[in-house]
This record gives sequence, C-alpha cells and structure tokens, in this order.
Amino acid sequence: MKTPPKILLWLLDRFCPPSRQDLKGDFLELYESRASEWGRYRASLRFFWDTLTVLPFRFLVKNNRSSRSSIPMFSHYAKIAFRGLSRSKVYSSINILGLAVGMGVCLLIYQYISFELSYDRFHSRSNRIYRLVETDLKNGVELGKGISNVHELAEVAKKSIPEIEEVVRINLWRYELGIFNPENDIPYQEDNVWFVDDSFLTVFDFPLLSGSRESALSEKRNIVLAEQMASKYFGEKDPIGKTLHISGGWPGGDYIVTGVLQKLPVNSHMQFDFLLPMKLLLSEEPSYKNNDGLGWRNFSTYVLLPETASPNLVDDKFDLIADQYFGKELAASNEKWTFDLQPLKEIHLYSDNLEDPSGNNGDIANIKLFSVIAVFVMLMAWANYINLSTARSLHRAKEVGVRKIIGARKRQLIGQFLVESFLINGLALILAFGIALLSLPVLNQMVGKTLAFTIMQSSGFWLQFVLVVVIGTLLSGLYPAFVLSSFKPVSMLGSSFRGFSQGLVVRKGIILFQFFLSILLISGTWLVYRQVKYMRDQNLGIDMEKILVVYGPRFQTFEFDAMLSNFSAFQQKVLQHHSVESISGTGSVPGKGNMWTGDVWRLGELSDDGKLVSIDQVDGYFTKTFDLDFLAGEPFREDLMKASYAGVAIVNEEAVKQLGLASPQNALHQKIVVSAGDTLEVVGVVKNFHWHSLKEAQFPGIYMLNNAYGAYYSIRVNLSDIPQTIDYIKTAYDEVYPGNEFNYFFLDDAFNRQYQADLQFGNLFTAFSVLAIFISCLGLFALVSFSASLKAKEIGIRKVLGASVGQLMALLSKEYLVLLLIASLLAVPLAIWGGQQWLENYAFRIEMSAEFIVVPAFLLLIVSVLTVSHSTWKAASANPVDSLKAE
Amino acid sequence: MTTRNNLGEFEEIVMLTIGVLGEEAYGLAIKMEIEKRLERSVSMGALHTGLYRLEEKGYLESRLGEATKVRGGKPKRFFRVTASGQRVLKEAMEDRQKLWKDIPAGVFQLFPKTNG
Repeated sequence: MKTPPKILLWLLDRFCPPSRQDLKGDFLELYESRASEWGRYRASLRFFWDTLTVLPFRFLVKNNRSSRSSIPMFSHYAKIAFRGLSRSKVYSSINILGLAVGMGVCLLIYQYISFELSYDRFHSRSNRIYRLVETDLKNGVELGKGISNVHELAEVAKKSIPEIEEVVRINLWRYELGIFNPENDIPYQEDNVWFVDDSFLTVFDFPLLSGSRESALSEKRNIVLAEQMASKYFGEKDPIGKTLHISGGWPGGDYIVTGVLQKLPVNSHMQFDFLLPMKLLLSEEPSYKNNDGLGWRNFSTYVLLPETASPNLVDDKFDLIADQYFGKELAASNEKWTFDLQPLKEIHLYSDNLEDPSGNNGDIANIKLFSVIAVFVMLMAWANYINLSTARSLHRAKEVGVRKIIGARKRQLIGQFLVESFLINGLALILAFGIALLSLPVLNQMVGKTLAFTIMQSSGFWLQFVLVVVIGTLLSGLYPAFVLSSFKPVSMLGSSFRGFSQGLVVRKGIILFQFFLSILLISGTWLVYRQVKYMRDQNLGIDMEKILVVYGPRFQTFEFDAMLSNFSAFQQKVLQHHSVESISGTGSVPGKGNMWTGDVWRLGELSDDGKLVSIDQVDGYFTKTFDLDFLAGEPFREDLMKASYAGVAIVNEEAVKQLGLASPQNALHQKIVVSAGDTLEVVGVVKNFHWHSLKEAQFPGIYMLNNAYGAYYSIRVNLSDIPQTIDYIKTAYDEVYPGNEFNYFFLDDAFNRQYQADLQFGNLFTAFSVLAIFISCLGLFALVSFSASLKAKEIGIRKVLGASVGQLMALLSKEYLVLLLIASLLAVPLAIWGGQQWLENYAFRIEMSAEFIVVPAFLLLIVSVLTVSHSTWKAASANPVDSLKAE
Repeated sequence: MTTRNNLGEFEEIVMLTIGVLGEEAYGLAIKMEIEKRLERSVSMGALHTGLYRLEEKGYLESRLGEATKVRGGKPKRFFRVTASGQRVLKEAMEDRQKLWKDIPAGVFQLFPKTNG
C-alpha cells in the first residue's frame, strides 16, 4: 500500500475537519491509485494541491462536541469573566480604571521620552555628524568645558585631518539685527540670526522649500530664511531673488534671498530664523577682520566623518593640531585645549555639563527619572490588580470548588483566570489609549512643546508595548490564578472558608509598596515647588518688578556722539513722565546673560593669575536705576557721563574677593586689566546682587562705563497706571528712534523665565504623582471596602456589645495607618538622598529637612483616611441585625 | 406562489451522479464519475463542500460505511438523494423541458424541433 509523505498527511490533518474522517479516506484512496498510475512524486504534488482546495471546507463544517478545539472553552471563560465583571461593577471599574490610568500615563511618558530621544535624528547623516567639545585648561586645571572654539580651528582641521569630510562652523552669537523688506519698509528687529559656513545646508538636511542647497550661502550678500520669516517679510509671494535690507553697523546693506527653509522640525537642537554666510562675518566684522588673536571663541564646530572613522582617533588629532597651530600662543597664558567629539544625536540630552549658549537642551537625568516613574506607575497598577483579584478570591471560592469537583484541572483553572486577566488588561488598554490621547494637550502645555502621538506610527513601539502588556498581564494574572486554583475543594465549599487570609501578607506588602512610592513622589513634588518658590521669593538685590526694559534701537547712526545725543533726548522725554524715576542704557540686563566673560587681573600682576569674571557695559545711571547698594565708593561721576571713553568701572563684592583684595575700601582706585586690553579704575563696589538665575553661584562682575551702548534701556517706574506710562514711553521712543520696533518686557518676567524648565519639571512631577496616588487610592478603597464586608459579622457583634461608630471605623482603618507609618519610615533615606542629589544643581537652595517626609506622609494620611472613610463608615453604621441574621 | 429551491448547476450534476452510482456513491467515486462522464475536473474541496451543503439543505443524506484496511483504515461516506432532493431535481428538469418545448421552430437551427 502506498501512502503519501508524512508532512502531507500532517497538513491534511490540519485542513481536514476532524469530524470528516471519510474525506481523509478518499484522499488516501486517490493517492494510491494515482501513485500507481503516475508515480509517487506527481501523486504527492496533486495530493498537496487537493489538500489546499479543502481549506474552505474546514471552516464550513461546524465543530461538533467531540472536537478537541479549545475555542469553545475560551469563549466559555470569556463569558464567565464578563458575567463576573458585570456582577461586581465597583471592583471591576476600579480594577479597569486603575490599570487604564497606569497604562495611559505610561503611554504619555513613552511618547514624551521617544520625542526627546528623537532629537536631530531626522538628518540623514546624523550618525556621522559630531560636535566639537572643547575643554580649556589653565595650569593644568580645568577652566571650563564648552562648545565655543576659535574659527581658525575648523580651517586647519579640514586641511590637516584627512578623515574629516566636511566641517561646519556656526557663530554662537545670536545677532540682533534690524531687517526690512525695501518693498514695504516695515522694520523688524530680529534676534536669531546665525552665521554659518556654506556647507551648513549640505551637511545638515533641513528641508529646503526653495533655493539650492549647494549655492544658497555661497555669496557674501546671500540670506536664507526660515519659512515663518518668509511669510513675515514677503507674505504669500515667493521671496527667492528678492532683496532684504539689514540696517546699521558692519553688516548693513542689501541681501538677496537665496533659500527658504521649511519650518524647522521641533526636534532639532538648532532653532534659527535667518542664515547668513560665514564669509561675510569673517571678512567684515571688525574684530574678526583685524584678526586680533585667539580672543574670540564664538564658534561651534561640527564635523562630518565617514562611516568607518573612529571619533576617538579624530578628537586626538584635534588635540594635536590645536597644539601645533595655537600651542605657542596658548602657552603664553599657560593654557591648553583638549577636544572631544560629541555625536549629533547626543547633543540634546547629554549637554548638561557644557557651556552651551543655545540652551534649549533636555537632560538625560529627567528622561531616566520619568522612565522610572512610568515603571513605578505601571507596577502600582498591576499591584492593584493582583491585590483586588486575590481579595476577591472568596467570592470565587465556591465557583472554583464546583469546577474542581466536576473535574477541572489546575491547569484549566489557571487558564481561566489568565483569560480574565487578559480581558481586563485588554479593556484597560483600550481605555488607556483614550486617556492618553485626551490628556496629550495637557502634557504639551506642561512641557511647552507640541508633541503628537507619533509613537503609534512606529512598529517598534507596538512590539515593545504589546510585549510589556502581555508579560505584565501574565505576571499579574498568574499570582491570583495560582492562589485561586490551589484551594482544596472541600474547604472551599464549606461555609467557613478562610482563604482570604492566605494572601494577606502579600496584599499588605503591596499596599506598603504603594504607600512608599506615593510618599517618594509627593516628597519630590513638594521639594521642586519649594525650591522654585525659594528662588522666586529670594531677595535678588534689585527691585525687578519696578523695572521696565525697552530694547534699544537697531536703526540709528552707530556713532558715539549721535548715539549719546539721541539717548539724552529720549531720556529727557521719558523722565518728564511723573511715573518714571530713572532710565539707564546697558549692554545686557539681569536674566539675559553677560556681554562677555574674560580674564581680569590687577595692574602690575601677571596675567597668568587672571580671574574669570563677567563684563558688562553700563551707563552712568545704572546704579541708580537698579538701586544698587554701595559698600564703598560711589556712582560714576557726573563729569564722566559724557565721555566717549572713561576707563572706570564699578565691581561687585564677589569680584573684590576673587581679585584678592582685602576689603571693598581697599579696592577703590585699584587699576584692573581686562583681557581685551582695557585698564580700568575701580570707582565703586556694590553689594552682590543676582544677575543670573539662582541656579548659579554669585559670579564676579565688572560693570564698565560706556555712556552710549544701550542695547537695553531699563526704566524704573512706579507701578501706578502702567499702560498709560508704557504708551507715553512708546510715543517718546517713536519720536527719537523712528523706524524702530518698540518692544519691552518687565525685568521680573524675563528673570523668572529662567525657571521655566524647573517649573515644567515640577508640573510633570505633580501630574504623575497625582496619578500614582490616584491609582493607589483606588486600590486602597476597594480593598478596605472588601475587608469591611468580610468583617461584617465581627462589626455586628462588637456593635451589639456597645462599640461606637468611631471605634469601629478606627478598628477598620488601623492596619492601613500602620502600613502608612512604616512606608514613611522606609521612604526617609531614599527621599533625603534623592532630594539632595537634585538640590546639588542649585547654587542657592533650600535644605532637606523632616518637612519633606512629614508633609507628604500627612497628605497621604488625609487622602487615605478620606478614601477609606466611606467604606468604614458604611460598615460601622450598618444595622447589626442585618449582618448577624444572614447566613 | 411557492418558493422554489434554486439548485446550482454543479449541485445538480452531483446529485444526478449520486443517482447514477446508486449504492456505490461515496466521495471519491462521485468525483471520478463526474470527471469520467463530463470530462471536467472536480477538486476535492469543491466536491466535499458541495456535498456538505446539499446535506445541510436536506437534499442528500449520508451514512458511514465499514472501516476497512484499505484507505488507511478510514470509512467511506455513502450518499443518497433524499425525497426532497429528488423533488427539486425533478422540478429543475421540468422547468427546462417546459422551456425547450416553447422554443419556436427554426430559432435553434442546430436542433430541429422533434415533436410537433
């Protein structure tokens, strides 16, 4: 007898309905006759083909009872599960809601993190682009680590390092320029203009709407606009080939628009409005034109390496060429540069320790923290699930007992509870997507970004998320499944079943764990808020809310006498208003950084001993307007306030200390040399005040007199009738500086904007903590009401014997309060350690104290008492007759 | 008007073939018989699907034969046309005959009208 190959028989068994064994017989009979007629090979082929034709038949024939298929069993489990869910609506909805909120939070965090990780990956060569990080050493001591280099470095590197395919330099100074379109003459002040090498557009692929990538920046008088600027200046019209006019100063003149960039992706660490050619800056800007040494480290350098190059070898070569080309000059001041290459993809998250003026970077520490929170929240949600399902075991005991007696195997029972677990998790997952989608706008508002749900488009996400959900469901479903399926059927059917006490330790452990996490989260939230509040409330040494800052004009003759007389005219007019007390023109204002930082030493000492200080140019009204307290000396003298160069400066307390002067008095009339070459006489010492955010320690500050700088005009006003005062100032401004855009801000707003990131961090932290607490309260609520219903008889008897409602409520909530106490004690070390780590970031900070455990614990106590009080009160105030008569 | 049960062409052939085979009408025999007589190939799947449907409609009934050593020990399933099956077959035949009868002479030139 001839039979077909085993594999074909196996296949036929899959395809042939089990109830139709005769069909298989037909197949075998046919095979035999064909095999003797055609040979085995052809017969097998036909057999295979015939088998395929049977597939529709497989689905047509209904499975009868004798079939071994497990589908009906699953549908039975699902039916039982649905009945169970709808019977106890409160537990089910708490269970599902808790899981859904947990999963929703995880989805949001996942989206947030994947957005943060997506930075700069849209460049097609992102894995080959590196940014140069420079470490400056002086006498072997690290001065600082940053991204500012000299512009010559890129030129010599390209010549002498063969691995470098291309270099791009970006000038880090965000130029403020007055720009208008000569066709309509509406002037705007732009403060985000970048000078870049012409390779910028070919190395990075920012999408170009029009223009040529290769040649857009090849001529000195070319300009490239971002999309939003194109519509600002040209409306709907195509700007290519049109002219834009930059007014004033060295870059003044007409520029041809040669490119328009699509709106820059949000996940780009570079955000700019205009691009101008680097060759323009280097050949026209006075300081670069004169090429006065290595003073100007205002350039960041990006290199494109081939796939095969090792960045470590290349950065060693940078060290070598720095030594070769600049070594001599650096050695004169005992300095040395060393270099590292930072991958483009890491710029956004790993630049925390770098001096980086772009400053919109994220922090990998936050990403890690939020990942941990996501994991915690999910664990809490699953812990809840375990807790509730185990607690409900009593209700299910009879069912399980009956099933066992009928003959259910342990394996089948576990299967049943796992099906339930998948069902609940599945429902929760659907809800979670809804929750996440609805709360995305809230998240966006909190982080100040515009995230969209892009993760759903990536297959990697689905794989990971589904995997996590399946594993989580299995793990959280297994414990209750094992507990329920392992009871002895006889004891389960008896009325005195005490299965509930079995999982008690586990359940208490879970509650303890949830309390513990909640306390940590609340403690973190409280800490962030206290620190931000501390920073905002701190006496800064300046009355910031009284100072209105107007941007100085960009359109005027940049010649000392004219600038001074214009400013005097503006000053006179503004001071005539009764609300204005004082007005001062300065190069920068607190909260907006310093004009520059450089070395300063005492005249006659070695420049090697120079100290790093910040230098700002201010006019004679500076100390009056900002109301600074003098420790020694006095404001700039009247007779110096018209001079084009006075050579005098006021310094702060910290500068006196750094320069090694014994006292403020001692510092008066000392001559100091700033590295640019000026020698200044100290005429006054002011008390320290905060120029920078309180994250930073006090920095030595030199305020040198320059009577006509005026990038910002700070106006001290009294706070009555602000709108009218502003109107008045605007009129005066328009008169003196026609053709300039009037822009202003209040100093305290601008200053406090420095804490934006901290506030956002605090908000996110709060939101996630609230959700975590919500989830644990859901669990607590369900559990307490459940244990109250178990203890109904005990409560009834106690009540009959004379216990009061209050005593009974205390009895029911006591054990949870003990858990809360233990959790608080356990959280102490971790909270203190974590809090101190975080506070290290701040130079001016609050101290960790008992408050950060006591307050969260107290808060949690109130929340949990409120949570359990409903159930305990209901149980305690019930009529004892009801519970005692029931059996 | 009574509802009529529409019979597919393939179904009609299957039922008639079962009639032809009489006592020996089981799956493979039906397939071979159709293939032999009508010179068309019939797939296993299509045949068994058709048989199953006809049985569900009540036009066929089946019984399992004895399991034998041949055919891998699998029984044969023998089919028989039920009374209602015979009725629909007859109706189908009569419908056609009526139509044939009413075709006017000379329209179908291949077949001259025989009776009349």
